[in-house]
Amino acid sequence: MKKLVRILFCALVVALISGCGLTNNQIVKTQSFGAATASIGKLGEEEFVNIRNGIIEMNKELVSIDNTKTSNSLVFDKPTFAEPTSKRIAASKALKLYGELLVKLVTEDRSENLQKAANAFIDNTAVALNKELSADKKGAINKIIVGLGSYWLDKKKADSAKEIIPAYQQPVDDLADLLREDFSLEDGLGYLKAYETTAKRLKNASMRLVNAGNKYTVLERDRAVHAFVMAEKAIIRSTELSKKAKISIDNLKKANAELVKVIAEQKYSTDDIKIYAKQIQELVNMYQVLTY
Amino acid sequence: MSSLGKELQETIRNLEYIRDSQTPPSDDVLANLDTLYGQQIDLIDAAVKKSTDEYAKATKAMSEAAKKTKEAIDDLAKLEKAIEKVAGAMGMVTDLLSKAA
Repeated sequence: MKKLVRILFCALVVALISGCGLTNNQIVKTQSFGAATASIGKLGEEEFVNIRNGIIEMNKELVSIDNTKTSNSLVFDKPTFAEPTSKRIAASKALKLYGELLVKLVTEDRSENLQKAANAFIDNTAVALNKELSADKKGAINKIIVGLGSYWLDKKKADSAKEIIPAYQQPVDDLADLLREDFSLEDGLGYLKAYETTAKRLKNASMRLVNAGNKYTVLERDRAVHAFVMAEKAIIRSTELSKKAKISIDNLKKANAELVKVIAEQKYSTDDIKIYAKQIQELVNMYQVLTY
Repeated sequence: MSSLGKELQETIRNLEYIRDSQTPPSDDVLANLDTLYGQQIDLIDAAVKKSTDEYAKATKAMSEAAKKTKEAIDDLAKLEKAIEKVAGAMGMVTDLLSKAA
């Protein structure tokens, strides 16, 4: 009888422990959202640099073929200056790392890997803020991640996800909207619009030479043709990039909404996780302010 | 609600259409387009307040320019008048941008 009670007790404990994690649907939605977040973050991180470099190259070509332009009349990286670009990159990177952290939270069994993801997120947020985070802020996150390496790992991970995800819904949506503005060609006055406009300006300048018959030398024509092709490629690229960004941002927002809905299926609450979620929320708020 | 960015974009689109239908494109159209592109980039860069009189005037002038360039697409005889409107609108945008700087 004692043996039977012991077996039943063990079975009950096992059932309780296994029931503490996320459901399959919650895991799938979290992964989907994490991947979408990481995808759009990566896109922003790479493309802000590409856009800035592209604008500089096209403006160099413009000065080269248009003799009405002087070095004083053009600021080569306008309006994608180094400082606003680096802030956008840091914010995109933080978004990407947040996505990766979420994916690890539902898939990673080793607490040290979760720790690495959290540290990367903290480091990048510090770059976005342009200052070191205080020791107590870092400590609060580290304490929770260290705490995950325990017997209750699955439950703690599930609790973390259930607190963090709703807390992040609005900031992530807001960040997505900011990225949408930067990658929109329609009503946008953002980075991609500046890239496309610079390309159109270069194309316009090159047309004057290309269509001028024998007024210019073969060498000058060659230079103009090179500029024309460069501009055309950039115009096509900006259209493709705008479409790609729109799809990624729509997917992100859709995944965000679905995830919050699905994750709310069960309620868990611990004081430690609440503190963690609050800390994360503060970090998001701080770097979000920088992007405005 | 119309915005300066939208009206500027519309004027550019119309002038591009005219430029691409001319062989070779006229110097006036090319030069005006170059200035408009420059202003569009300046507008992205500048923190322009939309609630000012200067902004409203520049937007109205650019809207007129967009309308006149649209008419010039259908009747090239109207291009000269349209270019005058564009020049006036660009002047207002320059004033607006210089105050924002």
